[in-house]
Amino acid sequence: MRLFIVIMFLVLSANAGKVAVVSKTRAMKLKGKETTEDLLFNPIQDSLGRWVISKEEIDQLDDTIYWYLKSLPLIDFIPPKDTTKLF
Amino acid sequence: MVRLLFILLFSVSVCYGQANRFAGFGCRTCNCDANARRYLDSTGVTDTAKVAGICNFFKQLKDSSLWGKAKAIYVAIDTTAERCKWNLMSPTDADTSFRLTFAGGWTFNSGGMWASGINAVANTHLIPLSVFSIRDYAVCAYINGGTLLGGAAPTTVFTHSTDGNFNVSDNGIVIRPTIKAFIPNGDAQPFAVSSNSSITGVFLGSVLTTGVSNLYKDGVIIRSTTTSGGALSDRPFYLAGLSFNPLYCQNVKLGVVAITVGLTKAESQTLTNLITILKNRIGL
Repeated sequence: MRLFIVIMFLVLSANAGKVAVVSKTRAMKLKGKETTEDLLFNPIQDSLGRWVISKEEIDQLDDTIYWYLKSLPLIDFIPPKDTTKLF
Repeated sequence: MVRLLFILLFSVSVCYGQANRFAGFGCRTCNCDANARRYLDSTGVTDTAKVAGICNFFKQLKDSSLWGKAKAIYVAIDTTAERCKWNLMSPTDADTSFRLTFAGGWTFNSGGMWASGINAVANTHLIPLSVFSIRDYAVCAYINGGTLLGGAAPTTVFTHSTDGNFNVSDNGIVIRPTIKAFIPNGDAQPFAVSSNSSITGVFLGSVLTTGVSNLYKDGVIIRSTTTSGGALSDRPFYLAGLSFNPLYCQNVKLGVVAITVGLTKAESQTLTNLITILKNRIGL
């Protein structure tokens, strides 16, 4: 049972994806700007209310004015809790 | 003698030109119809296999009844957002042409457009209420990868109300690891839900004015229901989630997405077949 829980934790962690935390001000400035051609930044809030951008957005940056984002530490993304009742 | 030589040379050049035209020799798109050429010009794709696959796809769409029914078709034709954003049905760079606007953590490779499941979404700008009549539309997605997880309530090709919650005017398909659903006219009305566990394939939801709503997997009905009432959304379809709410973002790799008016069973199967041929030809 303990092994199952550990495995499930690892699987969920692996699926979580990586993000970098930015300030709300920074997030508002980034929103809608291009990371690369025809791909826009889309900062969102994680389950703790922190503004984050994804590793994929950072990896594809080609504008040098955003290169500082590459130096930000990456953490696991924790999605917000589901409050919908669709199914 | 000189005149004869000129006539002979002229005849040879005309024949050679015609032969080239019909054989497509030295011209990858010569045998394509005008709409396919417009799409290929917009994408900038020149790969021989992809050009041939797209040309064939357009021809088959036009040979079937589907050409007049499709409103938007998106193909993961190449490895950049710039090339994947185009609507085959109207390949101009405008929201009104339902060109995709990508945002967040997308990656693009030869297999598809891959949403991260964190914040990756694509706005189709196609608003059901503006384009369709109630209970007369279809949504199709060829999924060839991804966990189908992500946010807490991930959606695949879906609209939402302005508050981001599921409500009475939601439309679209939700393809999750163990649950597949087509919600034609709001979640307050009966909608097709299946416990199918496939995570790849061509998933298609279609509703007709009769109220019959079918959910297909690779051309086979996996759930059918009859619905009435409800509403169409005044919000656009998004691929892989919703722009302002990570709750709905999905880790999904999309090869082809199509949005059409309501399709019969035969038409749904034809579209599935055409997408299958296309993905095999262009390597999705």
